[in-house]
Amino acid sequence: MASEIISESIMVIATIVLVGVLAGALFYTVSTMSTSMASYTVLQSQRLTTDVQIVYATNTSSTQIVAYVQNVGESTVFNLGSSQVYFGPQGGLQQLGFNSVAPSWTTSSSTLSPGQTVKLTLTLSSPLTQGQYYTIMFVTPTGYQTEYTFQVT
Amino acid sequence: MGFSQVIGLSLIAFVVLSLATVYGATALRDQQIYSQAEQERQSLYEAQLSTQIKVISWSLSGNLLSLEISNNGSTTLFQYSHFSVVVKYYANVSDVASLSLSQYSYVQGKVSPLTWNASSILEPDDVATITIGLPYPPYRGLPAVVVLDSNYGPGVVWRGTL
Repeated sequence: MASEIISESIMVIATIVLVGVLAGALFYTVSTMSTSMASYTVLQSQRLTTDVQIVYATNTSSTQIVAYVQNVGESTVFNLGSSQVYFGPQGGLQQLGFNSVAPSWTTSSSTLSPGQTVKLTLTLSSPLTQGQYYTIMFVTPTGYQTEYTFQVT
Repeated sequence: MGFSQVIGLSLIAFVVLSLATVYGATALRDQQIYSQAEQERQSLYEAQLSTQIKVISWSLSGNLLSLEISNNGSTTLFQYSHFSVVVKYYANVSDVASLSLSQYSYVQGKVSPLTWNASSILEPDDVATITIGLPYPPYRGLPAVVVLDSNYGPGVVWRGTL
């Protein structure tokens, strides 16, 4: 009788320990999954409520372009320097580096709040062709993209 | 069934129920966030589709450029501080034509250089006058571009000769 009680006690302790280990592993997994799901949802909701547009773009010299980007969405675009800017003639867009040697681009602000407009300045390494159409594509860090085509004057 | 088995199964059931609750709560919260974002997106699309502005006339007095604009859409436009106004023109700086490309800020009171204001809010089918304070008087006879984009996105582009 005493040995049965002892063995049952050992079994209870072993069961509790095993279930505890299993529960810890499962909670860790579910917690990781929940965090990933929450991050993904926030990213998706930000993408849904992000809407930016290039208001106007034109060349101010043969190697410099100025573009104005307006946030018409509901989300603030943070860390504008992490955005991607592509520029070139139609069908030949090339990526520009941020705040580096030409061809490059800079921005007047690091964030773009709803309703705000920022100025982008693009500096090219080779002169633009008069009368040619060029396209600017702006891609936010969250993946929203907008583009604008203009003729060099 | 032994006592240890009863304890084990009970604990496992408790753990499974707890995990299901945590997972369900997370999924529900995420769904709510996503639904809210979709509603905002839908509202924005509708506002963008319903917004239409047109320039009826323009006039120039010194360095003040006035545009009479009409709201041909069905949204009321009043958040002027979220509008984007960009003007490209040739300024008369000491009788030399100098290219000026700037963004203008909205002000409620008197217009000064690089600012603009509006005479009233723009109800559907309504007309308002926006006045833009140019930094210099324009060099006469040269082209100019005024871009006025609403807070919803759609706007109007005026091109002419000042």
